[in-house]
Amino acid sequence: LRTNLKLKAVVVAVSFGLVAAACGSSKAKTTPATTVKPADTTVAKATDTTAAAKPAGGGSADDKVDGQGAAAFEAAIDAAAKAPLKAVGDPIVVAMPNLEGSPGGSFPEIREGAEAAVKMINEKLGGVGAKDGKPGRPIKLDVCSHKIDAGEAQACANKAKEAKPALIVVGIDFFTPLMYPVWTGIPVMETVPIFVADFDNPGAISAFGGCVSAFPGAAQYLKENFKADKVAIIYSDNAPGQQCYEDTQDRFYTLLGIEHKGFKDTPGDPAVKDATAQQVIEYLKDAKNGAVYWGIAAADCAEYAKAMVKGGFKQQIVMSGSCNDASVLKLAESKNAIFEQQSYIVEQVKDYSPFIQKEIAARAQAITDYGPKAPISAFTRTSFSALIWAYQVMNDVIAGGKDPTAAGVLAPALAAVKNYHIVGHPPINCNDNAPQYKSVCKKSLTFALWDGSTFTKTKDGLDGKYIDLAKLLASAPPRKAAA
Amino acid sequence: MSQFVLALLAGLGVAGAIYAILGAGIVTVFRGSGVINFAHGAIALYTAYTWSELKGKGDLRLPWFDILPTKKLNIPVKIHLMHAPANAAVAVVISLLMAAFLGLMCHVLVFRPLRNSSTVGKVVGSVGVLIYLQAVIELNFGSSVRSEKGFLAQGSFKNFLGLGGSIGKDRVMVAIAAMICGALLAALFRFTRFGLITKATAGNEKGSVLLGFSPSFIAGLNWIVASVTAGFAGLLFVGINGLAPSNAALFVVPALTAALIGNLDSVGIATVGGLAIGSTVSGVTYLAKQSWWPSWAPEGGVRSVLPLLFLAGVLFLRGDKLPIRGTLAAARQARVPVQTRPFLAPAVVLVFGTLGLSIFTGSWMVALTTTIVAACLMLSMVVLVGFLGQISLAQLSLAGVAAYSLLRLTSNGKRVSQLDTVVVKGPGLPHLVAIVLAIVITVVIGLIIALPALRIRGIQLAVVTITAVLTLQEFLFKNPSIVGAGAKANSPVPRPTIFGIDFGVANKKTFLTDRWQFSALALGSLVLLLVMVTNLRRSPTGRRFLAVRTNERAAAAAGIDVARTKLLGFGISAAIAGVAGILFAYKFSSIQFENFELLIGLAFLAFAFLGSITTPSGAVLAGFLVPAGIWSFRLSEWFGKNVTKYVAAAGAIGLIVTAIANPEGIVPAVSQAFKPLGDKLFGRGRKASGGGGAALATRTLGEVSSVVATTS
Repeated sequence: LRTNLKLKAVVVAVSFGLVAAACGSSKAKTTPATTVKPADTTVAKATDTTAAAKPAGGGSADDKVDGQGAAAFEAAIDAAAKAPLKAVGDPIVVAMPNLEGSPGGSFPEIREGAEAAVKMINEKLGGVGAKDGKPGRPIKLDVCSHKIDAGEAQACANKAKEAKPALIVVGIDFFTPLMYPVWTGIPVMETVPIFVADFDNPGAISAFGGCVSAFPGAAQYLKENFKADKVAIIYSDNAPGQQCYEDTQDRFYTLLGIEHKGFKDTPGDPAVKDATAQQVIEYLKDAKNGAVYWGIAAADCAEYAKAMVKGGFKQQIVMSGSCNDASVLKLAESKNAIFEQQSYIVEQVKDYSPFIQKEIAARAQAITDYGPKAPISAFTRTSFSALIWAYQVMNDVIAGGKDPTAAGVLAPALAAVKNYHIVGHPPINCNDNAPQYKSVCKKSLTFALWDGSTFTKTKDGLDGKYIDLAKLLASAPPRKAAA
Repeated sequence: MSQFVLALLAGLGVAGAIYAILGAGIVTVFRGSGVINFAHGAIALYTAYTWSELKGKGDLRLPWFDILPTKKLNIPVKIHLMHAPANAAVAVVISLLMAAFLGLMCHVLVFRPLRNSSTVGKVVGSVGVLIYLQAVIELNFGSSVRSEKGFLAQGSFKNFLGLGGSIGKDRVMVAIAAMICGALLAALFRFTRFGLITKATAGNEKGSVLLGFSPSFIAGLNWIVASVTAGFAGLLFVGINGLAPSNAALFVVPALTAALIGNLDSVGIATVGGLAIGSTVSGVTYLAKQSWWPSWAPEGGVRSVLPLLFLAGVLFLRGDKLPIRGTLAAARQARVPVQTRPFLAPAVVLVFGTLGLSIFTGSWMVALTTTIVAACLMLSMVVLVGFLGQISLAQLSLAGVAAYSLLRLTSNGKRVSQLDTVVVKGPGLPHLVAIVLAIVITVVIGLIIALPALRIRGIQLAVVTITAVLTLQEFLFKNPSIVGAGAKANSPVPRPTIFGIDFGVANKKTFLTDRWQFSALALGSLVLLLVMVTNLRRSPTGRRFLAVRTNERAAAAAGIDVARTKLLGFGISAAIAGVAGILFAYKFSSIQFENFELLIGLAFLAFAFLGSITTPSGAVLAGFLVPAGIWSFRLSEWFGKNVTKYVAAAGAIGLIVTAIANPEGIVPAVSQAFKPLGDKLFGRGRKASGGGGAALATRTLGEVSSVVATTS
C-alpha cells in the first residue's frame, strides 16, 4: 500500500494483455473485429432458414389473393435473380427521420431494413420505373437519425423538408407531432404509428398499423375468440404509451364490453415490476378466462412474464407483436403464451403459398446481403416492406403516365390502394380507412400459440385465420374532448 | 394487508437489493477518492452485458470502440475467449474482472487526474464516464433489450411466509446477497488495515501521506472494490430484469439516495437505505394501483419522489446554516475573471448573430436558433454554479416550468392548428403578460428549490436538486390537472405575437421553422442576458456571490447575508432559465415532458462546464456545442451518419479530457492563448496587464481576502 508502482505495472500489463489478446483474436477472423453480429440469433437463423428454403418455381403469385402488384413484384425478383439490373438517372429522394442513439429509444434496425430495401431496389430490381430490362431511377434514402431531443428532431424535420423528397418515411419517432407541420404538402409514410397525430393526419399513410391495428385487434380477438371475461393491460407511462392506451385500448375494450384495467409501467425499472405483476395476478385471480396483454411496453414483456409466472400467475399471457423476438421466445415463461402476428409468421414459412415463401426468402436474402449491424427483428422486416410498398406504388404511378415526384401525385396514389400487395403481409386496403384512423391501412392480424419451439394454431377457433378489424375501427366511439 | 406486505418484501428482493449494493459502492468510492460516481450503475450494466456476451457467444467485449474508418487497420474491441455457451461460473469470474478493470480505468484515466479539481469538475467527469459507458454499451452490445435466464435458482416460494402469495426464489437470494455484500463491505472497512487506512486518508490526506501511504493507490483500490460490487449487482440483475443501455441511468438516483442516507460514509446504513428505498417504492406502486388512490397524486411521482423528499428533509435538518468550523476547505475552484471589456462579448454575439440571421436559412437557421436558446439556459448555470458555487441540476426543469406556464397562460381552449390532436384550456392571456407571469412563476419555484441550499452544500446539494427535477417532472409536467391534456402528448404552443409583430418560428409559406423574426427575438434576449450577467459579475452583488462561493464563513464574517445571497442567486438564475424556457416553447411550437428530463439537464450542465461555467462567453460557446447546435450540425454535415453514432462516446471523451486539461473550460484556455494577439489589437500591453499571473490574480476574486476587501 505504500507505493503505487505495482498498481501501475498491473495496469500496463493488463491493458497490454487485453489489447494483445484482442489483436490476436481479430487477426484470426476474416471479418473486421468491429462487426457487430446480430445478438438476436434465433431470428437471424429464422430468416436465414427462410432464405435458404427452396420455394416453388416462378409465376405463382395471384394479384387477387396476394394483392395488387404481387405478380409484378414476383416478376421483378425473378428477373433480378437471373440478371440484376442497376438503376440509373436522377435519384428519387426519400427522406427518413429515425430515432437512434438514445438509451431511451433507439431503432437502428428500422433504418437498416429501409436501407436494405433501397439497396435491393437500386442494385437488383433496376430502380423505380424499370421495365422490360430498361433501368429506372434509383431511390436516394436521406436518413436523419436523431436522439430523444426536441432540438435534434426539429433539425431533422427541416433537413428532410429541404431535401425536397418525393416521400418521407418515418421510422419510430417520439416527435412526429412537431414534425408534421414542417412537412405540410409532402406525403409521409409512417412505419410504426404511435401517436394520435400519426393515426389521422392529412397526407400521412401507414401500411402497418402500429398501435391501431395491434391493440384493437387484440381486443377483438380476446372478445370473440378467446372469450376473455377480464383483461389486464400493462403499458408504458410515457407519451406514446398513454396515448395508445387511451385511444386504441381502453375505449375499444369498453366498446366491446370487456372488463379490463390498465397498469402503468416504467420501462426497465425493477422496482415497479414485481409489485405491478402482483397487482395483475390479484386483479385476475377471480377471472374465469382472464388474460394479460401489453400496450407500448415491449421492452418489458419478458420480464413481466417471468415475474408473473414466479408470482403464481394462472391465466393466459397474450404477447403483443412487438414482444415477438428471439430473446422472449427462448424463455421458459413464454411457453404456451399466445403471440400476436400482424405479418406472415416467418418461423412457419412452409405453411404458406410458394409465392409468399419466395418473397419472404427474397426479403431475408436482401437483408442478409445488406449486412445489418443491429439484430434483425420484426422492425427490420417491416421497414423493408414499407420501402418496397412505396417502390411498387411509384411504379404504378409511372405506369399511369405520372411523375411520382410531382406535387400531389404520390399521396393520393398511396391512399387509394385496394387489396394491395405488401411483402410478408396479407394485402392491405387504404381506400376505406376508418374516419378516426384515416392514415392507417393495416386492418388485419392473427394470433398463434408458442409451444416452446414453434408457433401453432390457437385452440379457440381462430384456426390461423386473419381477423378483419375494419368494422371495429370504423365503429370507434368519438374521442374524449381533448382538453 | 398481506398483499401490501408481500409487495414490500418483493421490493427488497429486486430493486432494493440492487440499490443497496450500488449505494454501498458509491459510498466506497466517495470515501476512497471524494468522487460521487454517477457512472456506478453503468459499470454494473457493462458487467452484466459482459456476462451475457460471454455466456451467449464466448466473446469478451472491451470497453472502447473502433472509430477507424479502414477495414484492414482496426482497434481491437472483441476477444473470442471460449466456445459458446460458456460456463456460467467462468463467465462470472471474467465479468467481475472486467468490472475491476473498469473501476481501475475510471480512477487512473479520469478521477486521479481530477483529484484536485473542483466539485463541479468531478461531477462533470463522472457524468462524462456515465455518457461514455452508456454509449459504448450501445455500440458494443446494441440497443435492443436482452432478456437472460440468469444463473440464480428458478421457481418460487408458494404462500411465502403465510402471506398468500408467491415470491420467486431468485428474489429472496438477491436480497440475502445484498445483505451479505453490505455486511462484508462494512467489515472490510471496520476490521481490516485497508479499511483503517481508507478512513484515515478520507479524514486527513496529508496525514496519510506523512505516514507513508499513497492516497492515489488507496483510491484505486477502493475503486476496484466498489466496481466489483457494482459488477456483482449487475450480475444479480441479469436474470431478473432485461438488459438495456437506459438501465445505466435508471439506477443513478435511487443508488445515490441510498448513499446519501449513509451520509456518504457508512456502507452499512447505505445498504439498509437501499433496501428500504426498494421496499418503499414497491409498496407505493402497489398502493397507487388501488381504486381509492387519489388521481392528483401520480403514481410515478409519488414513487420516485417520496424517498428523495424524505432524504432532502433529513439532509436539511442535519445541515447547518454555515459550514461548521474546521470543515475542510473545498478544492480550488475555477477562476471567475472580471470582464475588462464588458460589452465586447455581447457586441460580438450581436454582430455575428445578426450576420447569421441575414445569411442563414433552413437548417442552418434552425441550428443557430438552437445555439442561441441553449446559450440563454447556460447563462443561468453561469450565475448559479459559476458565480455562486451552488451545483443545481434543476435549471432545465425550471426552463420547463416557464415553458408549461407560458403554454397554459396563453392557451384558450382552441385548436392552435388543424394538425393538433391536443387542445389546452387556459385564460388566453396576451403573450407579453404571459411571459412576465411565466418568469415570475419560475422564480417562485426557483426560490423553493433554493431552500435546501440554505443548509445543504456541494455534491449533496446537487443530488438533492435531482429531487426537484423529478418532482417537477412527475407532479407538474406529467400531471393533467395542472398542465392540461398536454401531459400525455405534445402540447401545441400558441404562436407568439408581441406588439403586433408575429414572432412565430414557422414560415407560413415553406413551413420550415426558420423565421428570422423569432431568431432575432432569441438573439436580442441572449444579448440582453449577456450584458446583465456580465455586469452582475462586476457588481457588488456579483462579488457577494463569489464570496459565498469561496467561503461561506468568511463571507458571513465580512457582513454578507449568506442565505439572502443564495436566494438572490437562485432567483436570478431561475429568471434566466425562465427566459430560456419561453424561447424553448416558442421554438418548438409544442412541448412534452421528455424535453426536460434529468439526463438532458445533466448533459446541459456538462456542456456549460465545457464552454466555461464561470464566464458568460463560455455559455455562448456551450450553446454552439449542444446537440443540434451549430457545431453539432456542422459535424453531421461533414461526417454523415457513419460517424454520428460515435458522437456520444467521442463527446464524453472530449468532456473528460477538457475537465482534466482545462478545468476552467475552453473559453479561458482559448483566451489565454490569444491574449497576446488581443493585447496588440486592443492596445493593452503586457505592462498594463501587470505581467500575467499576478495581475490575473488581482482581477479574479478567488481569494477570500480580496472578497473581504471588496465587500467591506
